[in-house]
Amino acid sequence: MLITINKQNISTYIDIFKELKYKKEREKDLIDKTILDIKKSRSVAYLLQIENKNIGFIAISASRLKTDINGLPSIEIDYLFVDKQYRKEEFNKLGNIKASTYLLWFIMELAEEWQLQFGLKFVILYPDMQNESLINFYSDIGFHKTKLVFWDNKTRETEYWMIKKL
Amino acid sequence: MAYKWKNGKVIRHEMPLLTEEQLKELENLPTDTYMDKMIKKIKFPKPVMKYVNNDK
Repeated sequence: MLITINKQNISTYIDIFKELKYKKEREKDLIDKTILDIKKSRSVAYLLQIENKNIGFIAISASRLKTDINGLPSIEIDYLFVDKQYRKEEFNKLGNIKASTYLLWFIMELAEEWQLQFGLKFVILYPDMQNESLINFYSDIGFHKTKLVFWDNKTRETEYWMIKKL
Repeated sequence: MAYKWKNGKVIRHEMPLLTEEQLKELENLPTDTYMDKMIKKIKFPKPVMKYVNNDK
């Protein structure tokens, strides 16, 4: 079961989010940030429950792929999290795939619906810590690795973002 | 808006601007990828919205 978590019902689910087991302390910070952004209506999350167990969630937000003069409607995957005890498990109820794959594919399907309804064009994500294996994973499943160069406090920065055309 | 780990904490991070050439290249990307094909094979449940107490 997927439960939509938004500003209206986040108060009911905060304890569930906080009980999810993480590997690294920074994952807890990312969960806290996600809760805050849902409270502020900046994000919506989809919580995956299987047999009353809370498996993980994916949080998304509205975005735009922008240039100086143009902008195309997109959604951004803010955070995909699976409880550490279920990260390697393939769930029979999900067609024998991992929860992370399922949540990602679910968002892609949702995005395709929104493409037809609202003219959504892209799904975007920022690979956590610019992790190379994550970048390779998303490249393998059809995301395009895009190099972006920008200035941050007089420092020239380079980042890689993963972009999937719908 | 994404999250980025910077100086020991999580910050919200906006996607930097693309060039017009990059945008054109992205608009011409193929859509029929491995993931697109696999998604069609999986049945996804419709998400449900749960409200409790005074949240209605």
